[in-house]
Amino acid sequence: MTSSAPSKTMTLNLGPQHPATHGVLRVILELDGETIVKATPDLGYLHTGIEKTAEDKLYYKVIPLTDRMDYLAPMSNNLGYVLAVEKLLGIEVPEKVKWSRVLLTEITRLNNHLVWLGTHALDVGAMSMLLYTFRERELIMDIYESVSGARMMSSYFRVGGLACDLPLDFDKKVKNILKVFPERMNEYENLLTNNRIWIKRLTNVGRITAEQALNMSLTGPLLRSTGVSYDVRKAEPYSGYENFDFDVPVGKTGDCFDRYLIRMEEMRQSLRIIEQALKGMPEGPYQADVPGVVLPPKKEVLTNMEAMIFHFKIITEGFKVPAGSFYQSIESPKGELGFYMVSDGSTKPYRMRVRPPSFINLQALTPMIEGALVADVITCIGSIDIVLGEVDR
Amino acid sequence: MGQTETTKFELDLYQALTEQFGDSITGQSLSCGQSSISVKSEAIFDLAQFLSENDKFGFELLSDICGVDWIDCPEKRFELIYNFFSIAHNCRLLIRTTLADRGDDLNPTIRSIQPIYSGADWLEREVYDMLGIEFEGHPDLRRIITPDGLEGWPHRKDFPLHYEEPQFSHNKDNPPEITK
Repeated sequence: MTSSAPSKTMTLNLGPQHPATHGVLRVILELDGETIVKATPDLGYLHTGIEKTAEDKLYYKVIPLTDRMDYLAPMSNNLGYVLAVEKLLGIEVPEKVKWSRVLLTEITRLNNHLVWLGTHALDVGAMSMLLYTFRERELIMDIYESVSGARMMSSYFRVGGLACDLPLDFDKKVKNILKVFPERMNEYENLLTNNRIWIKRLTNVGRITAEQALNMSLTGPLLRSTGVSYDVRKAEPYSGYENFDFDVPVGKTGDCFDRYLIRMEEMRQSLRIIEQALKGMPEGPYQADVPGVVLPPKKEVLTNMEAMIFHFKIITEGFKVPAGSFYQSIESPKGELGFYMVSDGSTKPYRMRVRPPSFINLQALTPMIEGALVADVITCIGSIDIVLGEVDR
Repeated sequence: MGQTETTKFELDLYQALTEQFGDSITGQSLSCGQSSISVKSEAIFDLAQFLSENDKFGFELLSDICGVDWIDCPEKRFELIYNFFSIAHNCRLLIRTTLADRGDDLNPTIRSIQPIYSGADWLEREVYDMLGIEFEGHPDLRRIITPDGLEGWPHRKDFPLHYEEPQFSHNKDNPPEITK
């Protein structure tokens, strides 16, 4: 080819059905050879209108909608929503509720990071990782099933407490996780951390600087990989996180390998929190005593007339939430998950705005991959850790 | 500002904002212990610039932009809530602004803050997509989540929740029969 020939670019359509896009993300790539000149993400293939639907639902009926956004971290989504509504109602939940919520959301973080690790490694070419991580995920799914009856869409948290008390074998199951997990984590690290192919595929790929990350509103492991220590659990503690002792890992270079190391360390820190939460779990009721908002215990409903009336009224009419607005943010496994609730004093939310970490973090994809190779696109998408249910809502 | 007590940093910040944008600030409100400042919509760009560039009150992170449709409210139609966070000072700042106050202008315009906070890119596109508010100076203001051919603005309160499925360009001439 002579140097005077005009450079031709090719357009490549990645997704929406491509399995490595983790759902239905579509990226339109303009290629010069194998180098990416321009990348345009195209979203919306999984738009379900959850924010709009919530405006037509009673407050307690929105809870199952929230865990359908980020279906890999259902409990974190439930928590963000119920905390925001509790704040509007001015409800203080019992200590036991706070501790169990912390324990379960940290288990959720493990769940999310396990799926992330398995699929990310699968995308990059280490196929056996998925089998290892899904083996451990089964333990977590068992816990979900025993507390809520559902393996994925738990909807276990309620406004003012939990749906029901923790099951009798809960301690045993969590202790089992604490026992086997550190050893299994070593197995993952043996397979990946010093693996030369893994290092080559991830190091210096998708690098972003701290200024870029902040300017793009990134949060979660993506921001922390650049060296900025911002974690909502430390910055604005919620649900009693100030009582727990844990570290926030930060990276240096802001590349995919740093993000891998950070998420691995976060899993170890989650185990620390789970251990503390299990050890210090206080005794007490599993829901707040707020008649008219929190459902009375089933035994009461069957024997006491007032309880029966309250039960009937809450289920059919819902409960009124005082007019006002509140922004509640939590640290979901993917970053800062925010719920901005606006109430007009009725039984349905006037507006529910979700600040989805996946959606905002996905903005980093374009600067990460422009100038890189096609193979790096897959690595970067995996490293950002998105769930399209949350991106599109 | 999750806590009820106001810190010294917040007091200093309010004072500095009042000095700088005194005419544009229309009020300060408190809801469930979270305070917010209301400003005129023209001042949003300068305010964002002040927050991003000021050495003393550096707000590095634009957390969120949320749009609300107040269709039945006589004094405002749309409200935008800009959510800034300062990591250095551990402080959250909610800035509210209203648009189309008389309710007659159904395609209101506000200046984009994308040149200051590039994270506002998709956030503003989403507000545009859902509420039809145009952001002046935004480099690529297109619908982001809903399809390009959609008519109407889904998060407006007069957009129906239940209605017939919209037909997009590929099957407009020969729409499939919808069975109920």
